[in-house]
Amino acid sequence: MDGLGPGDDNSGHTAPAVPQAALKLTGLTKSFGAKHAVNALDLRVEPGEFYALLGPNGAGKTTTLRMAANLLRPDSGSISIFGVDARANPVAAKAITAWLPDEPMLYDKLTPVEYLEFIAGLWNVPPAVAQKRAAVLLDILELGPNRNVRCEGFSRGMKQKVALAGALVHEPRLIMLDEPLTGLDAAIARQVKDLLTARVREGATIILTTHILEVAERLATRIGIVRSGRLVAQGSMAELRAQFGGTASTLEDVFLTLTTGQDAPQ
Amino acid sequence: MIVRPGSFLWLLIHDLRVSSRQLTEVIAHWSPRTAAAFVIGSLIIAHGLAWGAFGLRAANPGLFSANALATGAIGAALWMIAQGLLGATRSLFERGSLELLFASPLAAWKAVASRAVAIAASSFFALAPILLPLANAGALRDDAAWLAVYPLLISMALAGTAVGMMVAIGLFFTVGPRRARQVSQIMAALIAGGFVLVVQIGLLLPKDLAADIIAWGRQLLGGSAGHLEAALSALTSRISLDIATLAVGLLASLVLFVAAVAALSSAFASATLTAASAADGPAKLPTSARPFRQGPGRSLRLKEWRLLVRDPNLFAQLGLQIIYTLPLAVLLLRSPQGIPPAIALTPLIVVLAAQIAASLAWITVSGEDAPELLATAPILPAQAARAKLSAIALPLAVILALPLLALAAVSLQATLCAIAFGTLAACSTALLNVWHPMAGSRRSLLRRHSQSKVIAIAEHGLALLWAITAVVALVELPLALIPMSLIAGILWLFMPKRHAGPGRNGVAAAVAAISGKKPAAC
Repeated sequence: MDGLGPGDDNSGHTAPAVPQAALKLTGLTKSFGAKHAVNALDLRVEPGEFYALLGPNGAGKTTTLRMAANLLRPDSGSISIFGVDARANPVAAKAITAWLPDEPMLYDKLTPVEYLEFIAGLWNVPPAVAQKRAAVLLDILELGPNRNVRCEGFSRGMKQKVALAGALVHEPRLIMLDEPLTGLDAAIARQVKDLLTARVREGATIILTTHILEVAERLATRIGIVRSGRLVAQGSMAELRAQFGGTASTLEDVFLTLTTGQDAPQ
Repeated sequence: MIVRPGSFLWLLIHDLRVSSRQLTEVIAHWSPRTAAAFVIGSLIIAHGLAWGAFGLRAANPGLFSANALATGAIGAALWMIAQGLLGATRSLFERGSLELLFASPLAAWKAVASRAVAIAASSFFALAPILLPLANAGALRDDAAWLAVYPLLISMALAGTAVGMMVAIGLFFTVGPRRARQVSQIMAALIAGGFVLVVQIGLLLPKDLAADIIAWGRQLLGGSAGHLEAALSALTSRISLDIATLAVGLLASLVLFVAAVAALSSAFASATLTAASAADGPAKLPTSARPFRQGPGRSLRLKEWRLLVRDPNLFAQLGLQIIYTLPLAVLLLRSPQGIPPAIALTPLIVVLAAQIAASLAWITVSGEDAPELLATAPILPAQAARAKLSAIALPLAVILALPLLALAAVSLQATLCAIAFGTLAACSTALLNVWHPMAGSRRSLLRRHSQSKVIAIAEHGLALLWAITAVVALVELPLALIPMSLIAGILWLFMPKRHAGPGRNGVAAAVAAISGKKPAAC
C-alpha cells in the first residue's frame, strides 16, 4: 500500500494534487430499523492527525468507526482510506488500518507474545520484523514480565494494553480506537496516551471516540462533535472555542452547547 | 398472591424465571401461537414415540426389563450429579447475579438455596421431555407404577444438585479456584460419560473375558462381593417402587438438599466472591525464543491448535461425544443378525468423523473469541474459513487414528471406505457449521444444538446418511449414489444462496451473529 501515499496520481492529469485524506467519509448513512444511527455524515481526517470524535451516547460515533473498519455495511455513502475505496477493496483498506474496540479482542489461552505473533501473521508482517516490533511494544507497555503468561488472568487494563500492542504491531497508517481509555487506571491510561502520541509523531493517523473530554482536549489536533448521526462541528480546540464558546470556555462547555443546547456558563 | 420482595420465594421466582428463559431461548422469539404449537406438537411426538416403544416390548421383552430400568436409573442419577456439579460450578464462576445478591442485604442462604433450586429444576427439565412421556405411556399401556418416574426424577434432581454442590465446593477449596472449574468440568464429563462407557465396554467385551473380569472382581472384593450383589439385586427388584419407598426416597433427597444448602451457604458465598477475583490466575508458559510464523493461514491454524490443546474441558466434551456414540457400535456388533465387524465399525467411524468435525468447526467458527479481529484483518472471509477448516483436520485425524487402526486390522477395504466417507462426512457437517454460524462460547460446546434444532437435525441427518452411504458402498458401490443424492439435497438446502461459495461469508456472519448485528459483508 506504500504506493498510495499523498501525491500519488496515476491518472496522467497535471492538476495540482489534492493531499489524500487518511480517512474520508462521504454521505455515510446507516439506519437500524427506523433509527438513523449515522445520517449522511461527511468527515475528512488528514494524514498525521490525532482526531477525536465526540458525541453523547447513541450519537453514532461507534457506528461510524465500525463502518470505517469494515465491521458494518453502510446503507449508503463512501469510505476512503488513504485513497483506497474501503467498500470496493476491503482487504487493501484493512491492510493499512487497525481497529481497537472498547472491549479488548483477545484469546484468553494465548500469551501476549503468541497474540502478537498471530496478529502479525494475519497482517503478513515478516516474522523477523514482527518479532522485533513485538518485543519493543511489550517493553514500552511494560508487559515484558508477562510476555509468556496466558492472558486469562490479566486485569482489564493489561488486556487493553495487549490489544493495543496487537493493533500497533503491523504498523497501521490509520488507527481507529473506540473508547480506548475506558476503565483504565491512571498509570495505564498514561502509557496508552504516550504510545498513541508517539505513533502520531511517527506519522500515523489516529481517530478515536471518547467520553473523556480531557483526553480529546489534550491529545487531539482536531475534534469532531457528532449529534444524531451528523457532524455538527469540527476544528481545533481554538477554532471550536471561537465558534461556539468564548476564549475562556472549555471543551465541556462547547460540547454541552452543541449536544444539549445548554449555553456555556459565563 | 403478593410475594414480599427479598423473601426466599421472591428470589426463587426470579431465579426460575431466568432459568426458564435460558431453557426456552430457542422459542422465545416465536409468536405465542407458534411456540404453543411447537410445545404441543413436541409433546404429542414424544408421547407417540414412547407409546411406540411400549409396542416394541412384545417383540423384545428385554426392552424394559428390571435390569435395563435399574441401569437407566443409575445412569440418570449419575447424569443428574454431573449436571448439579456443572450448574454449581457455573454459579461459582459466573460473575454478576450471585455477586450482586451477596453484596445485597439478603441472607446468603436465600441466594444459594434459590440458585440450587434453579439448578435442580434445570436438571429435572432436561430429562423430563424424554422420561415423562415414557412414564405416561407406561402407565397407560403397562402399569400405573410407571408414574413413579415423576417423584424419582424429582428426587434425583434434588440429590444430584446437593451432591454436585458438595463436590464443587470441595474442589474449590482443595484444588484452588483456578483449577476448580476445569477439574469439575472434566469430572462432570467423566461421571456422566464414564457410566455409559463402563456399561458399553462390558457389553462389547467377549463373554468369556467379561466372566473372567467379574470373577476377578469377586475375588478382589472378597466377602463384600456378596453384600454388593445383594444390594444391587434389591435395587433391581425394587424398580417398581411402592408409594412408601418413593416417599422415603423423596424425603431423603429433600433432606440431603436442604442440609447441603444449609451447610454450604456461607462457603458458597465466600467461594463465589473469591472466584470473582481469582478465577483464572495467570498460567505461565515456558519462555521460548521460537521465531514467529508468517502468513494468515499458518497463523490461524497455529492459533486454533494452541487454543484446542490448552482447553482440557474441550477434550472432555469431545470425549463425551465419542462415548455417546458407543451404544450404536454395541447395537450393531451385538445385533442378532451377526453383522461383520467391518460393516459395523465403518459407519461408526463415519458418524464419529461427522460429529467431531461439526463440533470442531463450531468451536473454531461460532466459538471464535475475537470475531471482530478477524473481520478487520486483511483477509477474505473465505480465506479465514478455509484456514479454520484446515485447522480442524489435524485433531480430527488424531482422534480417529485409533478406531481406523482397529478397523484396518479387520479389513483394509473397509478402512479405505471409512477414510473416504469419513472425510466427506466431516467436510459436509463442518461446512454446515461454517454456513450457519451461531454466537457461542467455547465452553458451551455440548449445548450448541440447543441454539438451532434445525441445524442439529440436519447435522445428525448428514452423519446418518454418510454412515448409510459407507455401508452401502461396502456392499454394492453404485447403490451408494442413492443416499449421496439425499446428502446433496440437504447440503443444497442449507447452502447460503446469496453468496458465491462455501464459507464465503462464514466468519463475517459469525461476527454479525456474535455482535448482534446484520452480516458485515463489506
